[in-house]
Amino acid sequence: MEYALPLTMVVCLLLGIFSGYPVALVLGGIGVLFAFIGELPFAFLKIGVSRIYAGVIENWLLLAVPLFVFMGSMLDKSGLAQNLLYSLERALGHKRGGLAISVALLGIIMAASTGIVGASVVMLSVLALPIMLRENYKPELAVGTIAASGTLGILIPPSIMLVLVGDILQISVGELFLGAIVPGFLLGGLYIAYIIFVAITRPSDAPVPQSKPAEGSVMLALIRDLMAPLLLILTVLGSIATGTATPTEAAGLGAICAMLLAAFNRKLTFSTLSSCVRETGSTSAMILTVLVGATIFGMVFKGLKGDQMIKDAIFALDLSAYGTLGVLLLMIFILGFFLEWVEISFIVLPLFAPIVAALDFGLGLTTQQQLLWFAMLVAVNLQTSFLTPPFGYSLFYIKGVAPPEITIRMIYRGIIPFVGLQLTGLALLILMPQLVLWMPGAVFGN
Amino acid sequence: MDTQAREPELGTGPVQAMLRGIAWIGRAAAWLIVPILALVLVGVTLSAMKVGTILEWERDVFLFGSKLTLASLGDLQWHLFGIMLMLTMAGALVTNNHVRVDFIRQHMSDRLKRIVDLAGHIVFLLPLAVVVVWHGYDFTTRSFAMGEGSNYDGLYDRFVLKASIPIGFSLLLFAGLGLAFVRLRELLRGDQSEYD
Repeated sequence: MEYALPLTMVVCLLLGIFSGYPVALVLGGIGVLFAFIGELPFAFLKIGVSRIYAGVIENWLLLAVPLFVFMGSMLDKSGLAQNLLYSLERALGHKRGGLAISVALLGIIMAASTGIVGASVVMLSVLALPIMLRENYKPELAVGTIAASGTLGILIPPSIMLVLVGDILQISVGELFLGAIVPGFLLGGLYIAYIIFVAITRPSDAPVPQSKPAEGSVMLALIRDLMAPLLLILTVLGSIATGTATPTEAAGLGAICAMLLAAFNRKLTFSTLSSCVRETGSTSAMILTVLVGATIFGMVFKGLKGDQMIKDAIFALDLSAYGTLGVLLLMIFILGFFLEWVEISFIVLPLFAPIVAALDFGLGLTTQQQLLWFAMLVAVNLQTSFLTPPFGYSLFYIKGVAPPEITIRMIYRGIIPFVGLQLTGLALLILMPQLVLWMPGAVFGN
Repeated sequence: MDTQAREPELGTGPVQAMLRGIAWIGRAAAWLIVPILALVLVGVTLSAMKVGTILEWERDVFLFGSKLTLASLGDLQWHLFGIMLMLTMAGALVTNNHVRVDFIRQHMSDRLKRIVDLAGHIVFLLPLAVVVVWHGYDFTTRSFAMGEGSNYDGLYDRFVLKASIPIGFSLLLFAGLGLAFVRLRELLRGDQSEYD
């Protein structure tokens, strides 16, 4: 059996991960153990250390991760989201379904602050769920809207996930950010269309609120509250698109911008700063330690010809380019039931990248464009994995903060239509690569 | 990815004091994000103003050589980032912030969770940390012996940054040993307290 060792390695990895021990250390530990079991020379692991240095520590792009975490954490505490939801609610809330649309819009606009999915879903639940339940929205629709919109943040730029996916696939993060704009809005648009559809066909699910619309200039307040997040998004994306800043510098500017906005909102105190710093430290350690572990694992796995095993297995199916793409995406989708984007990106993507680069779709795409397109398909796929029962993390976050009468079954039932919307969006992106490629092409040229 | 993980109670004793120290180092290192932010701001401003060399002086100084350039500021950003990452890694283990796939774990008894963690520290963490400290030490001393540094007027004395790898993984090693000790003692005492 040619591939006995890498196969055992995969089995041990799965056992280790599902034991619930920290994933980063399972990855690194299995890497080291199999270097000994596979009788690789002792000096082989020395390469691992220089890979950690060159691939993680000396990798200036990855500095964008803590900077974006800091930005998101600061925005989260700046009170901007509360203000924005309040004015969205005043502007749209008295229409049928308007409250749910407000939540979806808030999810899209505040996507900048949602590098951390947990934080944004929790924030939306705490802010919007009590209001929606009070106004007699069907709980299923309310939680579905919150989970889906809160998760959109890992897709819509600036997104930490895209920084890492870009790094793994060796494609420009700037192009990836621009490529994510159309798919992000497409999904947001699908959510809103669905909410309107429900509001029309089943009016009792999304009733007109009983509370009276407030007096005063609603539009003015809305514009004022929209300014702040738009300013931030423009700072980050604008500085990348115009070439003024690299993604890392843009992340730094975004973080500073978020601090200014918090200061403007009188929320920038020492205790806010201190809790942002603490969250930045622990969240980026959490994400990047997985990368450190995956570096060791991946190196040993390749050393034992594991990458060859995956390639052989995929090509043995002898499918067309689209068939192969479908199999890869399906595998990521299934893994998404159990694992999070961090693990999937770091473990699986490096193995899939060369396979995708070699596919010929007959679309006349360059390898770079093909990887960009694939990256976006993976990103939408991973975003969906947060929502798929039974182990979608966003669903657990909602359960954690929702009132006890919201059962996990209600949440499962509520999310299913949105998973359907996600898959529709994914299918559209597969059929029309231009949805992804148009924007980066228009801004950066080919 | 639970961002609201409760920090476990550690109790008293020398091992617990060491674990608290490691967690403290992690929290302190997280503050490096503030100077990094300042450096990014200065860097972007200066490059927009097309300033390359900021300061020059006579004698060679540790890390910076004989001038402060835009490249040194850029280098300093990822130097601080690397040090921050390596020093926060072990603290995150003590405060239980690392990603776990917990859909099976949440159905385990507190005793079984302790056994899994004890086994994981011994089987996975210790070999990993020992190997990386071993090779990382070698990696750092070689860099020191070569006098490795920037060849584009950035920062010199690269061994300082490289040393963060063996230092970070030593902290991880001690954190793993300390936590294994605490778990083992709880198991031997038949500690029934809640554990996640």
